[in-house]
Amino acid sequence: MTCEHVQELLAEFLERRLESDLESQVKLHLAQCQECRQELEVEKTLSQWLKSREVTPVSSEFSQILMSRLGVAIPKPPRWFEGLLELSNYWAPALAAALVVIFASRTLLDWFDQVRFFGHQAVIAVDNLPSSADISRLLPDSISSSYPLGTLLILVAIGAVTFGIIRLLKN
Amino acid sequence: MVHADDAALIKRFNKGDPEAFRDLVDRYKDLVHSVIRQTVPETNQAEDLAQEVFVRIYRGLDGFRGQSRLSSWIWRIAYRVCLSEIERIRRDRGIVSLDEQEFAVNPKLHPDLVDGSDALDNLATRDLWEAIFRELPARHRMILVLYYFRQLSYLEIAEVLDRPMGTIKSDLHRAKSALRKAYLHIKPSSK
Repeated sequence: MTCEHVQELLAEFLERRLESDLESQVKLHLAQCQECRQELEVEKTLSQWLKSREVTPVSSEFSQILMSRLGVAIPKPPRWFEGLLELSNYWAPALAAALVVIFASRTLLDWFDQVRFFGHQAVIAVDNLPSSADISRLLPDSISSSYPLGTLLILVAIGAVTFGIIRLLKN
Repeated sequence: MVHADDAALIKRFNKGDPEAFRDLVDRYKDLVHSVIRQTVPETNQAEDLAQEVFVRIYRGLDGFRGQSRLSSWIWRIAYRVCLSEIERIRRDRGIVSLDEQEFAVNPKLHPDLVDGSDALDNLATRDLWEAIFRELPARHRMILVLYYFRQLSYLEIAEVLDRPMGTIKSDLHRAKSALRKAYLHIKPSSK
């Protein structure tokens, strides 16, 4: 076996991919040839270095940039979801506007109630004889009943905000 | 010749499945990126080059007939993109193409590797290999990367580079000899 032939086989020799006959011949040659043994050492370090190189992932936007560059449509969500999104074009802003009106109205009403309440308290203080009937009459009627309505409004508001975020992501 | 999964991907693509190409990108993007980074370590545009590879794949996939492995075809495209980038870099730096030349450490690129200064002693073996590797002709770099990093066979590399298997074997041998020569020349202590 020539040195050139042995050196061609060193990578496969290290990987133990040679037929047993050929492997024996390489071994025999290596035992007698210092130059090829030196080549084997280089092969080992080179092989270790090249194999130790790691896969370097691309950035997370890679596919999206590529698809938009190619004009390939990004996979669409299911039809029912699309429909819901289309609907949200109309009802999300309407809902948001309604919520603003409701909250503004309630704040104004509460404010008027407070003014009325303190006004009557002042009158009662002057008379110094508050009756239970007076106080219950003066308390705003809607205080206890406003809690279920408030919860509902909060849920609706969360829904509207969620759809707003979905629309932003979609765009 | 085509790997079963790859064959299914191509079939889906040809049937107009919009997800097929995305799946192909997901399967190969990190590998293509890594091979480019390793073959052209001096570039800072590896991700753009990987994009270019997939653009070419997308445009050519219709005409891919499965006469070679899909992966071999992809590596061939990657190799061409790498060659263009290496040529661009060398042109920008005013260096003659080394692609078909015999290897020698280029003093223009690595003055620290040829002046015999003490800086050499401080270079770790990995850095030294890296510096020497950068000086190899592009084809030799690609062969080394495909053979060792991707662990392709001689036959597969021959498909990728469209050269006879014997040429690939002797190129690999020459690349390693050049590395060895430079390694021993630069690192006298390892003689």
